[in-house]
Amino acid sequence: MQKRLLKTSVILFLFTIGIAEVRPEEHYSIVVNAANPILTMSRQDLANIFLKKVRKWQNNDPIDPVDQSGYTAIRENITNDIFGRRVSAIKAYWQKQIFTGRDVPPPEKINDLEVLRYIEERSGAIGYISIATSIEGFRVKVIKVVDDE
Amino acid sequence: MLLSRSRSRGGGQVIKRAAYFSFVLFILLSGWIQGQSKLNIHGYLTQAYAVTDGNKIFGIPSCGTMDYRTLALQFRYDANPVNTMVIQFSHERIGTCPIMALKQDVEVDWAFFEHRFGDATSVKIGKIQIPLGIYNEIRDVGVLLPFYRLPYSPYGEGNYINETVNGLAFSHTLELLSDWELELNLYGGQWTWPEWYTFFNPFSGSLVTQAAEANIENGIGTQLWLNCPLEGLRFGLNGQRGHASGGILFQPDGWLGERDFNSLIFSVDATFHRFFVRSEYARCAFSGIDFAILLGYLQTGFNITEHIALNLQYEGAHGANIPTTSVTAFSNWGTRDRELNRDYSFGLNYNFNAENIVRFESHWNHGFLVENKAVSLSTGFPSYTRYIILSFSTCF
Repeated sequence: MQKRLLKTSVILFLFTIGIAEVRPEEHYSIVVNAANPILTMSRQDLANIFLKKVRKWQNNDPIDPVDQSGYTAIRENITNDIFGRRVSAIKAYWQKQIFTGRDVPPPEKINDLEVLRYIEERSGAIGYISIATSIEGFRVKVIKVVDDE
Repeated sequence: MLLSRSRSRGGGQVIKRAAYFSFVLFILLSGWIQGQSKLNIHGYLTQAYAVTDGNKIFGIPSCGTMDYRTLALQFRYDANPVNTMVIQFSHERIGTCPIMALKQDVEVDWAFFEHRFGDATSVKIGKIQIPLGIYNEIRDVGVLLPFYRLPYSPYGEGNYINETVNGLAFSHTLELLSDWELELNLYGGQWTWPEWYTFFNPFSGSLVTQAAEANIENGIGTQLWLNCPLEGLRFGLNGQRGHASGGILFQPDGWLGERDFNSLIFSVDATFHRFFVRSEYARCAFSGIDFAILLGYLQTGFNITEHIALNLQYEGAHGANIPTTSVTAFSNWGTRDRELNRDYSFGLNYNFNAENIVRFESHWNHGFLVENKAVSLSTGFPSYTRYIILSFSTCF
């Protein structure tokens, strides 16, 4: 009984401070320009790219991440999966970057179609779309997200 | 100075109108340019209503004021991935605070050129925000603050901390073992300290308030941040030194006289998903005398729901070896220690989303910061003041 109580308390505590994160089911695809040789990417690398902590691909070309606007379901989903945070927390991170003059967030596009067009036009671009959206007809490719080592 | 303050009705008015017109035109054109190029425009506003129960403190009168706001508009041009030019204009109103005498309606908040060397290193030159403690760089960005006002100790107007430095800044982030990270910031140049003082004029029989800016030359400083593997936990250390002159206290015949200073700030910032705890302790000392100011605060907040947050804060300031008379006039005439300020705060925030926040806060203050009385730090008595601030913050 005491053990169960202790276990419940620990889980509740971890949940409260946000350490215990439940990974949601992926509803998104990560997309890059068709000319990009990359095939897989870890969640940590994705997080670093979308937070602009890493700015160049391995071949030294600049990385050009593109986000989806507002508080859409797909953005909530990927933000939760990659950063383990809510969109509002990531927006707060960017507000701090902007108003300390350090950086600005990736451009935001209003839907999957706009994201695909953006990536198609830029060799270093990377973004995400709904898993249900077809990429046929666009010069882009989907890469696989792998677990962190 | 962005806008001319000339009171002459001829050329001065024309210049003022031309400046306003150019500013508006620049903003309108920027909107068009933004869609075409690498220009980014961002801004924020916090508008407050504030009232006290009697004394006047932090520019807040007992009859209340809406003349309490911060607004900024930022233009950022990323010429390429490594070179950036940023300028931010600001407008700040602090009610009837004596510091207002030193402020223009619109000012260049900061303006700099930045060059990046790889992902972890950068150099800035121009008028640069000083990386100092948890809040100095975001001191007016309402959407990022738990309370409208930052803790007076150490961030208050006229409290010997400035927002910007005219000079150079260097920043480098070092990846350490096991996900530890060390962020190193160095800065140097010239800056100012706004000062104000209220005294009783026995000849006129009235209170006189004086405000001026002390000049800091040969200022250098460093801010270190140690980021822990537990995301959201970091420890900071800031040290700075320089030579202070002019203003009020640092005039050759002023209370402290022209002299060198050094300061240290220790910071702990634990910001997690549902709650945060932040605390900072600062010590500012001056060469040739034992006088030192000790400042600190403890702040905590908890997100009750996704939208509602409760915040609490305690802050205090203490003077050690306060000279009982002017240091420059009577050296070693006598000193005393005393508590200068104490403030308890309670706040309730409603976040519509990350960009829009409504905030209610109540403060209980005990100290020497009231603006409607002439007080002597060495012999005067502290005052009790309660003040309330209701504010709305937004940004884009």
